[in-house]
Amino acid sequence: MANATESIAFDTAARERQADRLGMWVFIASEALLFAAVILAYLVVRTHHGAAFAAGSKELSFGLGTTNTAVLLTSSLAMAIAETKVDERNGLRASRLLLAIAAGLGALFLAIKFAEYHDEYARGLVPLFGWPFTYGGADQRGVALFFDFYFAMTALHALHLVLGIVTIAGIALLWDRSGTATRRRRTTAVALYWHFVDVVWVFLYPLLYLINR
Amino acid sequence: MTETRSAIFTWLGLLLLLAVTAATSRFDLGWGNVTINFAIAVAKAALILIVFMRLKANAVVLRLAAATTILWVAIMYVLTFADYANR
Amino acid sequence: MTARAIQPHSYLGEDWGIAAWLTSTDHKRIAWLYFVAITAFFFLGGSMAVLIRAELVTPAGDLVSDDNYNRIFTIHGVVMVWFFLIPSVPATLGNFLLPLMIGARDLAFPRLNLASWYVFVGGSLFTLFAILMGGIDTGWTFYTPLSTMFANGWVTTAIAGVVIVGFSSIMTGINFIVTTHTLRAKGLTWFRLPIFVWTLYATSLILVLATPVLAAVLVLLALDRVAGIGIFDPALGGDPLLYQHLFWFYSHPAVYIMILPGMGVVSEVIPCFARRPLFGYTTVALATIAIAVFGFLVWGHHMFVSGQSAYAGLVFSLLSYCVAVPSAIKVFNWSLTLRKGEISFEAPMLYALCFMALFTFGGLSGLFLAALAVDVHLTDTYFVVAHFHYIMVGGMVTAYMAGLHFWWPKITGRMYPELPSQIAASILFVGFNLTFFPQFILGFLGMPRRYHAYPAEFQIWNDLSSAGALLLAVGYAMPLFYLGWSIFRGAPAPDNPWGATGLEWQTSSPPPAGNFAQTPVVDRPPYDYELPEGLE
Repeated sequence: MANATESIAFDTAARERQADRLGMWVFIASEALLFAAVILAYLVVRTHHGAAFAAGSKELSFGLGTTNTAVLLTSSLAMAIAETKVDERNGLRASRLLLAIAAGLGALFLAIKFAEYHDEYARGLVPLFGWPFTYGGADQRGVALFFDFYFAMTALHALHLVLGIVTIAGIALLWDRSGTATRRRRTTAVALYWHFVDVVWVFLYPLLYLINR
Repeated sequence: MTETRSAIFTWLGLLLLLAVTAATSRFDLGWGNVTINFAIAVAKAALILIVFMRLKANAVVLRLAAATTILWVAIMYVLTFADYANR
Repeated sequence: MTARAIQPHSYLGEDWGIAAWLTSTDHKRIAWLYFVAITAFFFLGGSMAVLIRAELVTPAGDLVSDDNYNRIFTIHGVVMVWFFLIPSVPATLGNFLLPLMIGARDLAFPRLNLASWYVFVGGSLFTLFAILMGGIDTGWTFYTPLSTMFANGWVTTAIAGVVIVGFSSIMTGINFIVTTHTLRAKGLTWFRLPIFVWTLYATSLILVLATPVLAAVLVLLALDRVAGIGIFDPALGGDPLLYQHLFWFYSHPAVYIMILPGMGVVSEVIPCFARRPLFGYTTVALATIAIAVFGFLVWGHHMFVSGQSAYAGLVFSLLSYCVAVPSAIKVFNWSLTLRKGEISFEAPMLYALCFMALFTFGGLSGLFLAALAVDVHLTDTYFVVAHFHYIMVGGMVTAYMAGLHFWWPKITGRMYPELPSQIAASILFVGFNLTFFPQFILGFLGMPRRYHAYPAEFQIWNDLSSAGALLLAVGYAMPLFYLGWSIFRGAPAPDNPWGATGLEWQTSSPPPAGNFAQTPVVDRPPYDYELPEGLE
């Protein structure tokens, strides 16, 4: 079982896992350009409205944003150890547990994010769907653009996190029915994706929460 | 076990960097804030890429994929701002 | 290397049920699924072109209303770009041939390959739905703020289709890149790969790196329409030019997605029918990669008159000239391959020679447009329309026809009928030039694109163009009939009817399900046509 390949194209499972890694990296390259394009749009609009973006940033919850960053970094740690364990002779059980922990921390991140969204909605800071935007300070238009980007970027990131959690759930459910080689390949693949989503947040956090200027 | 240990050290490093970037953002350092935030984001990303995503341990072609990505993002940013910076 | 036991049956021979075709992960069958889908889209887009040319026969806008005319050319552009040209060669010929050419049993991720087809069809349903509900009038570029504030069609639905089809492109790109890296036969080093494989690799690179940017910008556009974010809306402090930057970051390289595989096909056909090795193989291979990279540096030449900074315009103009260099290198290499060759004029070669002529025309007219001052005069005129049709239709579609005829015996196990094919290729060449050359003149005289009525002095050129379009339609319809006929009635094809080099010719026609009875080993450079083995 340890040497069964998924695709008829490969001779050995080791070779196939290497191909999987490359495939995931190419996919991540593609995803990175997706987020880079949105961040570029953000930067261009921010150069037009610097002060308003700083004012908008101060309306976000610094504490929750920072906590969430720590939560996500910790989930990546769990994922990294899960990938190490899956290669050890007796590590498969621990690996599945660590995958579940990573997914659980991802869900915690989403819960905190949702709490933030709810708070911002309650304070009238969501300039979408024609909802009332009641920000009282100067340059309301520029601040509205900041919140446009804030919701677009965090929602796109949250969507990726949801897909990651669903994928982990799928892997965990099929765990008992799959061979060792399959478990290893899937763990490696989902780990790369999960860490990438973490990297995206590492950039979104200062761009959205930490503007002083 | 050593892989697990280096993962834990990396995680501690990431949390430390997070603490620095969060703490300095409470003070108004002008462009200093932007610089610190960006440098720390890059450092955190590098740690995740090299250790968690195992760029160090794996085949050269994966590092090539990562480098290509960075180059392409740079092309997009430099040429777009070639327009906006010179309006 | 443990060679698996492979049944010597043809991939076509086993199970002909609909379910068997729709669930097969065999790259050769998936190529057929793509053939069917893109052929349907080609004739849908083509029928819109017929309507456009019919409207332009007379100066008055009498056949369709101005609003409907806008919708017709938008459908033509959207369907032809995203549902025919982008997937055309990679997803059909590329899918079929890449594993064969590198001596592999299949692509690296066969199920991902099948999934890409379903995503393609799923996405196309969105866009087809938008078309059936009355279409959109934004043009294929969906420029803001027209598309966000003023267009009142099914814009969101249509671009949802385009974004989803983009995912399918990315899946194909990932699959091709990984396959080329990990599944080459023993001895098949990078510089022994056929140029077609190089071009597929470069194309995949663009698909993977450019498509997500299109997805990002179209999602932002959709959010503008659905949720009212004002990123592209100047009234809300947004920036409409930002849309153009991100759109062309994808859409200029997309031109190279369309043309590079065509160059690959021609690089296979010309050495075979000139019985000569490809001249300057290494430079052609490197020029392929250079085109893919340079293609990302020139997008601003679509924005010379948009209000972009003049300094940025200068830089983009210079870089646009640079991209002409690797393209010219290729044309010279093909010409020098022909020199002193024993040239024969079977249909694939006729199509390939048409490609060379039309691509050179299209490429040279591109230099006019890359010049800042000239472009101010020519922007949004028929000169631009003629230029990119020479590249995309004269270049890419002709190369696709060359490849289709060249590998038809391998794909179907039947020969196509030679004489009708040669006639079709000749009609295509005459019809194409008659359609699009007058448009260069129209554009130079100042006729703008995208109008359904025009001053009477332009009529003669428009009528020539419409007459050419009729001829072109015949040239494209003929293969549908004789190729369709040949699937059932054509003469059985030998394994290597052209005496061509390349691993795909070493297996049977049509190939067995696992491609090769024995995993091949490569010990020679590509295109070794002077060796007696190649001549058979």
